[in-house]
Amino acid sequence: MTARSASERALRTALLLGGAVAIAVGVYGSVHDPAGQQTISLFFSNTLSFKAWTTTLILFFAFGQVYSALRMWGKVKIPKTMPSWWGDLHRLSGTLAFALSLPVAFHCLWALGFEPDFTELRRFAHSVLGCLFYGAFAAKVTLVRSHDTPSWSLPVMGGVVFTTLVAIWLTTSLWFFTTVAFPGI
Amino acid sequence: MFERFVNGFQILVCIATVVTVVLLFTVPPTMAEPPESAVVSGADLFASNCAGCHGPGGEGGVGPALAGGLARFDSMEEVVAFVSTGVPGSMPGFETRLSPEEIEAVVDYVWVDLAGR
Repeated sequence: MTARSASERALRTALLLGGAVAIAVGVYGSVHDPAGQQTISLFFSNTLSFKAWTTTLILFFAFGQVYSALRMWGKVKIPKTMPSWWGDLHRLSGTLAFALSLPVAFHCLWALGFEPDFTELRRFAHSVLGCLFYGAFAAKVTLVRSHDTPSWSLPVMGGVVFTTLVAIWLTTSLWFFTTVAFPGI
Repeated sequence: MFERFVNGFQILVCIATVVTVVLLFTVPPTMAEPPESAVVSGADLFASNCAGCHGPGGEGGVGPALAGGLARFDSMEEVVAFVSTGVPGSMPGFETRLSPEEIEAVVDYVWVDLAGR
């Protein structure tokens, strides 16, 4: 097998896995009877407030992800000398962001489900973006673990994950802060 | 040291992911158990069944606002029917989760106290 075909195969595997995850999330959200109840809210007054603020915190970590990645790829020069722990910091911020997304996604999927009606544009877009986020995340993690993929694939997939997350924040947290309550805790 | 911490944390998050997926398939919708000797108020039923989507005060959230609303309905009976059957893919039907009396109690609370009808 040539290096190029191995590279294409690894990339195809990552994309297929990501697609499978996105579809699985969407199928679950569609077929599961939504419970319509609150789940975790921690010290917030209700689950929606918890989700709005947690997604905002996730976005904060995602910005950290982007900046630390840009430094690792030499696209920014601060800090001038990259500390030895910089890569681990990048992994930690990404892992924290993903971990925080779990209770949010649980409520979205278990209590609310997938919005199939595209005339409900915000909810429909948010449903699609949620599926896309976990699919892109799965593909990105697979790419990170593979050393055969094209060099452009990792930053592109990281960009997809980040862009999707920003869109998710716009369709939920920003919507919550501007139409329901702010700070709404 | 820091690398080992991050590795350990990632393992914990992997376990948390598996647990979350398992919970998605195993946690049933919480059934509102009618108490033996006390009548559950519409407000309590609203808090435990509706506030998650419509907001604690019916101000709206994932679902539409109810406070000062419900203009599309002409009577409480219409709301009772709507809440009982729900909307596929959008709002769950509550006829399998609440008794008819409980649905009437929560609709009465929404209709009178929140929507001001």
